Amino acid sequence: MMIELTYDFSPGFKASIVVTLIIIVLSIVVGRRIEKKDPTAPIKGPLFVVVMVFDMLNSFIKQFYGEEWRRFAPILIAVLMFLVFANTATLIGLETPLASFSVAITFSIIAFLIIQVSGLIVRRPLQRFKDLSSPSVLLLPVNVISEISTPFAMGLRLFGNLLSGSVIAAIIFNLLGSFGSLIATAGILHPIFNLGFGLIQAFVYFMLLTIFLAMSVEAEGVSDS
Amino acid sequence: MFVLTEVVFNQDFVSGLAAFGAGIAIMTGVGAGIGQGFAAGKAVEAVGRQPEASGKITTTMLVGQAMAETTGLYGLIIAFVLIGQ
Repeated sequence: MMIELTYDFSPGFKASIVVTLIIIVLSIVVGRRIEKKDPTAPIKGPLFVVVMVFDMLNSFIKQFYGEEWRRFAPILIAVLMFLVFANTATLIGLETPLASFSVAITFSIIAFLIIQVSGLIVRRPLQRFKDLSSPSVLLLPVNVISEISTPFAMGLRLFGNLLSGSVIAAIIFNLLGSFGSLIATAGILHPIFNLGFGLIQAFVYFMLLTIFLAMSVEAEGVSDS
Repeated sequence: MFVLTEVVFNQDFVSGLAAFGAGIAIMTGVGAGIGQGFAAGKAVEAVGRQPEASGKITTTMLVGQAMAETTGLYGLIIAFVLIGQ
């Protein structure tokens, strides 16, 4: 029996599936090529760029987590990779996944779960409760509200940015004809709204997730320093 | 004697007021713009004082500006919701 995959998903959701598949294929191909490499030989070409970018990201994460960075680097970099590919997906003719509200809210939920679950695992529930009621127990509701509202705001920020970009692009496409919009697309709109704002927003989301995760994981260390 | 009359507004009136509200909601952009400009000005001052740290300053400025943009984006989302009325 055939399962109809294209049943009634929104274009943004379909695009997010395509982006996930692209990331899976790229990761497998690059990973196998790096595995085959001789560790002593110098790396050249596109592989060198990939290795350099991941080295930069790892050293960025090391600043926040110190010795334990290996535990948190995979999920953070996976989120960043998805956002980078998703925000530039319009360059290959897909809808921007983050301009769909369900995908943006999914990102809020993912951020909430990453922060809370790793906080509970690393700090243990009792210590986590003490962290949340840190100045006094009276402030516990305020802290809980801020724990919930921060990931929500992060998802909404992505949604608003990507939606505003696509709406402005649609307005300009309507004003210009087909030829004018071709020039504007190639030269002005897509570089600004996808490569500029999209990549900046992806990096901002990654950075905020890193900082909030570090705060929930080592609240003591942050307050000591 | 007691007749409850339901007040039904004209649809054009409703959507006109919604568009008016969307225009007011988009004014949050004023605050976001002032905040972003302030961040950019301070970053320029910082680069002038310490040119060798310009890369780090630029990254910090962009992150701060993206944070400041959030309030403007909330106004934008509310405007979109109102336009759909």
